[in-house]
Amino acid sequence: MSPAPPADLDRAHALMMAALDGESTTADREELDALLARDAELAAEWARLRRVKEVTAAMTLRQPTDEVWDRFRVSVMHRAERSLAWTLIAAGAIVLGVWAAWHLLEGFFQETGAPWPIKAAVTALVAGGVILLISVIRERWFLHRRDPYSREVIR
Amino acid sequence: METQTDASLVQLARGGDREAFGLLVERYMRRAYLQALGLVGSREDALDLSQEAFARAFRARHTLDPDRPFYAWLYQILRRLCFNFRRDRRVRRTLLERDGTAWLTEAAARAAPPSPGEAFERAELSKRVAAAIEDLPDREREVLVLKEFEDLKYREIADLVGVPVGTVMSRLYSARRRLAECLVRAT
Repeated sequence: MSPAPPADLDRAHALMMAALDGESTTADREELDALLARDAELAAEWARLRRVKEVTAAMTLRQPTDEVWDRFRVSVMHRAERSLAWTLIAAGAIVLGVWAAWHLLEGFFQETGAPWPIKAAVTALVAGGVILLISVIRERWFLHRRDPYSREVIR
Repeated sequence: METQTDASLVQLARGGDREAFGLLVERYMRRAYLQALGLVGSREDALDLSQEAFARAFRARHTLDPDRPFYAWLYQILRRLCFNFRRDRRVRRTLLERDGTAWLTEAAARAAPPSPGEAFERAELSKRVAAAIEDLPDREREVLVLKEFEDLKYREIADLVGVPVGTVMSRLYSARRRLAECLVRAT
């Protein structure tokens, strides 16, 4: 018995999966049997994989209680509504926040009484906040563009 | 309306018919929940993510194509949510939270009650395998869950995940090899 060459190994792996999952033809099964007969290492791996299949085949996902299903549909529709509400609230809050901040800063800088170190500190605070915001937005955009799962689907 | 096909419900949902979309939710909520459970391994998170997937689908209903299967479209939203969730969770997760028995159970044990010794051994094995499944890379875990717990054919998995059948088989092999290593270490 000698180990199978690498090209045969890929084929052997595919044949083993198909055999485990009941998706192999008679010819596939004969081909696998021949490979296993001449490669002891492969035969040992086949035994290990069969054991894995036995264990996973005896496992199942836990079902939730019936109450979960009763609430599911209603929860989905509420979520969809709430999401619209949050989007509107966020948009309104951003516009109002920017408008209020602009007017506050405008009044602050026009006021001649404030000492220049305070004006410099406020300027630094605002500039830091803007840089932070832009950085977060850029990071989000970068992550969105590089999402490893977005390009996997063949459309 | 309950007897209508997915395609006609999708057509109605596209036009904003909430009742039609609600029926699609009822048709696929169990499947979506269980697939999310298989992908994230926590019942509360699976419920949250599957509901969120439907909510996002409802918001994006105008992009629905009645000629394509509704669930395949929904699944793309669901898997991305689950994978992103897993990516974020990996950072903050602790070993204490790892308990596969919370989401996986033994079908065979319910069918024929084993002896106490066997039951203990099975429970230990299940725990180890569940923990090993949780450690699998996302793409391998996904095909394993679709195969083992959803019992889909390779062709169906390939269509759902959007990869060739050969890739499904190689991911399955890789996942099972990792689980086999875990079982070998356990004995």
